[in-house]
Amino acid sequence: MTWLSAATARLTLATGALFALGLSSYVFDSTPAPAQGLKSYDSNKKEFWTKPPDDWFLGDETEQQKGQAPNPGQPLPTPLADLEKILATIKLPQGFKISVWANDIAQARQMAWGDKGTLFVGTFDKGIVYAVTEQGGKRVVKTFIKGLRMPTGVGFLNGNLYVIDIDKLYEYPNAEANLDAAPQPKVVYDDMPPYIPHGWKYLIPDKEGWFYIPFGPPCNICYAPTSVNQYRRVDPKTGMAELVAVGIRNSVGGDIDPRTGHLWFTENARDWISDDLPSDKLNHVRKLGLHFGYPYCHQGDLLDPVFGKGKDCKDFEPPALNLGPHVAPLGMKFYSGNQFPAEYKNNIFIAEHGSWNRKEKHGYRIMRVSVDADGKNAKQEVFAGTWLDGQKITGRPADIQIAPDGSLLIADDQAGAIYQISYGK
Amino acid sequence: MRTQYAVRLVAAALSLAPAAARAADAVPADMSEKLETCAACHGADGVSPNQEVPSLAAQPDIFTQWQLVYMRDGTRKVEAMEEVVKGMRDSDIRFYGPYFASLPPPVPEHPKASNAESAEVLNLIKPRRCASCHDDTMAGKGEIPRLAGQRADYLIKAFRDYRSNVRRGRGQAIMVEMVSTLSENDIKILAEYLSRLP
Repeated sequence: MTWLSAATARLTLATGALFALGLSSYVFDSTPAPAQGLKSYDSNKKEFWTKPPDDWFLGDETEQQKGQAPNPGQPLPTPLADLEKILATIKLPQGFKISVWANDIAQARQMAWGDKGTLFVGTFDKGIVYAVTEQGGKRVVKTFIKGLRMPTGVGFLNGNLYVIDIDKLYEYPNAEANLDAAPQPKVVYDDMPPYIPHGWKYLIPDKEGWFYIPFGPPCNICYAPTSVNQYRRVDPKTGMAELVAVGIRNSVGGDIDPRTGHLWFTENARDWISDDLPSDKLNHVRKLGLHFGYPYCHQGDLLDPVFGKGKDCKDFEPPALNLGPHVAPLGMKFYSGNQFPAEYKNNIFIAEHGSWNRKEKHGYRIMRVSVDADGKNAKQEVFAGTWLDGQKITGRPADIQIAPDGSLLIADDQAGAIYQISYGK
Repeated sequence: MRTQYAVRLVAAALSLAPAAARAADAVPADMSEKLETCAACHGADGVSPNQEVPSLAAQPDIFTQWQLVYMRDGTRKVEAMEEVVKGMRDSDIRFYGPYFASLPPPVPEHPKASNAESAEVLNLIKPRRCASCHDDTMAGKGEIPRLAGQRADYLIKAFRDYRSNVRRGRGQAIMVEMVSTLSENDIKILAEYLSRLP
């Protein structure tokens, strides 16, 4: 419990009342005996997240859901020739085209541009960070850092590369001048829980040079420790942190609206209710201190069958947009480039990693969302997809980045590739 | 150790001929030499003659690829494989997967008649729903290994490794749970049963 109380004490609280809200609901339900042969999980006990079972992500299942488990991915990156065949099946709006930008980049997750044109790419349990550079007109993929746990999130500020690895925010000073051997990193923030479940993170830099960082609960659905279910804003220069928003499940993507400076983020909703419920979300942090509903209320209007008892969805911040059940929205970007037609300006592109807790696969594509700066009139359409061949998964979009020329880069952590979507010519 | 390895290698090279002849057109020249290294322990036809060394014949393509990647990454530690996987190319791994999948499965010495499972075996297998991943025939599929016809001593080792959390990799989550409640005697019964499946 020590890390928990320390975390609580050291957090600069934006809204102290939020913690009380979490704690007052800290009641353990007794779980009924499971039906014969069905898996059952009591994730409300501290032991569940301090020593998580290996299959912590599973949940109380129904007969129809038996055997559903996260996608195993594939052992090796998809070879270039196969990638090209797959991309030939991807549908795009008129005038756009998609090509392989880099391949052999296993488990490619969040991407961040260095000032001098290096693209840094995080990974999942490969534990490495790649550096992609142009050398003599050729794109070169190099393992820059290795030996980390789950460095899914990367960011670049003031010449330094930042990597978030579960419970450590590392700073690699002057990274682009040291691409041959990664410089010794400095831990600039470590006030984070050490467990793996939903512990992989994402870095969203803002204009002041702070990072927004998501903290997921160590379970599918539970009353989690008060140091998670939230977004914090962390200053890598001082290690100071503030609490921004709570009531959030697993978020692995977000961006700052260039129109307002507000944080927007994607959120993966709970599993094991049904194929079609609840919807994953796009959220707008229109002010500090909002509670987005987890674990009590999902998709703005669905009380949790267990945790929602005695609650009212009206008491929580609704999503700006429901994205669909189990689509797994990860990385997202406001389009700030100059290559696409004018109507794309400030639209949001979202990478859908695709479903596993569902009979028919859903997601596996790039969505385009248009929304007013105040969060009103949000609507979405499919922009690129799908990475499915029937029920066979051909790729899993995990992150989106905008290239200097205004084209879109898509990281695919199953195919181990980065694609480029460009317009015109 | 070295002598023993050399002896095995020679023995394997001698017995490699039939397998090599059968799969010859599919095997590029630079791979046949590497396959001899595999054959030294795993058997010429991918059917292991060696204690606690698994048969690879008819293992699903993707399963073999995953295991090689795990061993190369250091996720799954198998001392005897350390030198072999060091520097193994992606293209090698993409070759080994389909190659071993294409070999005919091991033929058990005393095959089990189908539908002749004892109540003892059924009591172990049914509640664990082994077939939902390993398939009704225990032939495996995708990233899930074939168990039918595998060496009993290897299966015992694998069960024990899962139970003590030594065996790492993505199947670990479910397998630890499946085997944690197995007694030593249960493990022997299951291994014996699976090894005799055709």
